[in-house]
Amino acid sequence: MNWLLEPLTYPFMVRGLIAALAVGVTCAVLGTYVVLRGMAFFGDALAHAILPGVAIAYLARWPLLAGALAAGLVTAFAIGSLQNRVREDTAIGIVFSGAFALGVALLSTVRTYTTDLTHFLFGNVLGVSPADLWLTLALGGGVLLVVAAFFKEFLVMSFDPVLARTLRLPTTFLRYLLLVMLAVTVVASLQTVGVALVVAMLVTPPATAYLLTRRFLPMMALAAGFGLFAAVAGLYLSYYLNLPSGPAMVLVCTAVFLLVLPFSSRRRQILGGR
Amino acid sequence: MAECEALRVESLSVTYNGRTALEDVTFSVQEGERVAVVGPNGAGKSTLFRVIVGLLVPEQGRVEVFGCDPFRRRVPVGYVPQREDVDLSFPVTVADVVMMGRVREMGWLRWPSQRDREVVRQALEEVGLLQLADRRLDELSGGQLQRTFIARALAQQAPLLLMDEPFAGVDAASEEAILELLDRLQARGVTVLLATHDLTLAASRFDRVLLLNTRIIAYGPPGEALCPATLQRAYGGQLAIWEHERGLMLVGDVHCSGGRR
Repeated sequence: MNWLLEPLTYPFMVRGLIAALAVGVTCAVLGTYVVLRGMAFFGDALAHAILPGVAIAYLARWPLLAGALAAGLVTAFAIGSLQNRVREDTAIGIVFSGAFALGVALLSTVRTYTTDLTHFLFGNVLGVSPADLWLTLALGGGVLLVVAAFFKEFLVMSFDPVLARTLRLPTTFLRYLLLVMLAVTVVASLQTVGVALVVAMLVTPPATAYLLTRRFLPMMALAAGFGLFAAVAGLYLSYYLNLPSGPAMVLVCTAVFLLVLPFSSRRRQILGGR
Repeated sequence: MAECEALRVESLSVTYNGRTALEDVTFSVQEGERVAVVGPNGAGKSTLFRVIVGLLVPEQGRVEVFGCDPFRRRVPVGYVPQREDVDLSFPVTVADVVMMGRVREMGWLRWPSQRDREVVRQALEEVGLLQLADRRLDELSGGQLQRTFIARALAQQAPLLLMDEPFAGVDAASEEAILELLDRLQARGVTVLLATHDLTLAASRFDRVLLLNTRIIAYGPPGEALCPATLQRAYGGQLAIWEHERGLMLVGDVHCSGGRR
């Protein structure tokens, strides 16, 4: 038992753990829509494309959230407007890599370049300040509240956009709300997992849950459970093996997915088309 | 039948993907009437439905549903598309899908109430799927799937229901269940527009037939709307090939008897 309690004697570990738990749940809940709507690549792109916004805000000492949100919205808009000229996945590829390159270039102008970049990319859970923790909790809580408030509307929109329109739901508003929540979630995850790996926290726990259940709400709940487990287990792995927290949490997610895979009758659907 | 007008379409023109899909279409439907929309492939039947339900904005003309613009209407319109383009492995049950029809009625920030569940149960019973309520969509036959989407439209409790080719690719049991449902809906005063390729069905089970080929070729009771001259104009050379003997026999039948019902 001692090895479980020992890390918690450090206040920064407690803060890191709480932040990781919040991120695990938030990513898994929102990620359920990402998986079912087939937005995994888009989510990954959005996460990477937020880097220049974060970099500018960091350099100018503005709130990181403002920079990240602005970058997220510009990216979503840029991908949307390019879609008429090239295929959607091509558009995502162009915008994502371009924005990411800009972010790296901007960060390279700082003296502490390597450390800063690593922290943004892979998280630095041990550096979670009390202020960071409150921000993460507020953002994560906000996303969960919005999901709860528009639960049935998001479900209809994800399952059948045509029905959403014939029911006269504000589909454009809901679509942008989902994008904003994705951007917010990425920002909330910045400290714990980092932009490079956040897509795994979004996609892998819901995908694991999808293997095990045939209902939407249980899928979301199970995903949240897997997200929580990955947060805790990943943090301990990170502490004892001296790994960065982001990769450690993601490796736990992947391991759980691989463990569950042989027990699912649905594995053909998730690996290799429908 | 009440005197109220359920649907009014006035000089409607729609260009879709660069070609004229509908041109100068004008007609109206009284509340409680059952109208079959027939015409060759590409005649604009689906486009017409999409305009009425508010999915497409017409370049010209006007649509009124119970006196309201489709984009500002408060009255729900049930719509069953020709082919539901949904992911059948989505983790929802038949009952979940039908409940989606209630979302607007429930209102924002609300969860399904006892009454919503009761409406869903009735809609499922109505299409004969109550015992399959907990099935997933990828476990259903084509006909059962079609009936699920019809139940979802019923759960909206809409006074106007649009069904686009509900009999396409459907087994005989589902077809019979849908036809029985149409009779019960009419008894309740629900107005139904149904697009179909089946001229026999259009002639025998509907109050009015709208014969469409971009423009309205004929609109009226089956005996008037379906005659060799109008069918020739709607289908042109296609008619002899299309529907084979059955269609041609029907033409003679309707023409001679001067219309049934």
